[in-house]
Amino acid sequence: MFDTFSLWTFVKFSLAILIGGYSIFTIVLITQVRTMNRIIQQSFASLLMVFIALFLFVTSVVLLIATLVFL
Amino acid sequence: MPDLFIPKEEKITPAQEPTPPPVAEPTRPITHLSTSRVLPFSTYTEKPTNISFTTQESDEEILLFMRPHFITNITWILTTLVLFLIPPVVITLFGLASNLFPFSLSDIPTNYLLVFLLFYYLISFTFMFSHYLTWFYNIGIVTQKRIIDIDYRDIIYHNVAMTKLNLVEDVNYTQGGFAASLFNFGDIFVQTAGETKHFDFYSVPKPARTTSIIEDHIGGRRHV
Repeated sequence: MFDTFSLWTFVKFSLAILIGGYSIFTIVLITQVRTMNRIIQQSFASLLMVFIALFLFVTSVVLLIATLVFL
Repeated sequence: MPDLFIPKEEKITPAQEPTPPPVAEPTRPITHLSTSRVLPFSTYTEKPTNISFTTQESDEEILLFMRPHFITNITWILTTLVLFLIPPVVITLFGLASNLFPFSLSDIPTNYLLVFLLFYYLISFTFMFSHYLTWFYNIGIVTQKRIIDIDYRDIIYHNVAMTKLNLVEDVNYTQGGFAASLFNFGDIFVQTAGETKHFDFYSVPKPARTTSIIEDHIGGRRHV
């Protein structure tokens, strides 16, 4: 029982670290997209790229919270 | 003492003045450009109306907007498709031939399976999105004053190079391979006298027309 508990705790925190790392990556992604949009403004398409990058960041944060709270 | 030889003074009349050699008129007609809009999947747009760049001058007009041909994205599109199909295939395999595996999917708690699947699809989507961005921000722009080459690679690297058209010395293109011939794309090489010696635009659609348009503007034929 103790071994099983340890295994799943290990999996949980490993997942949390991975998702946390991914969240940081999405912040870099948002920064880069905004930088590129400053260089070249493509009206609607530029806005769409920022929106998708933000969506990825928000989803990763929600998933991180879900991992830490519900697993 | 009389002179033995006295040269005759030649009177040059206006009609006899040496005339400069006639400048050969270009035989190739100037390429006509039509106005259009850039869309999220546009690869070649002439005189785009809905685009601008950071150092654009008020009297500077974009003549050409180029990205690599969309068919060059086929590798990552297929890879993404495979990545998206792996989980359903694995789940089906576990269901059909569960006796072949030492453990069952039902041994894994549903919560963990769900979070793992969501994270997996998030990573797969990011793989697709980052490749799309690499294509989306790899841009070549030709204005009536200069050429701008924007390179974007590996999410964290970008390079913006520009040169004035009067510094352009030569422009040529290569088109080789089955796909390039079928879909009409090729590599354009612009050689300049500036600090950046080469401006290379890879897999650009309509390379012959693009080269022709750039040529129209580097030889003093600046009528569009």
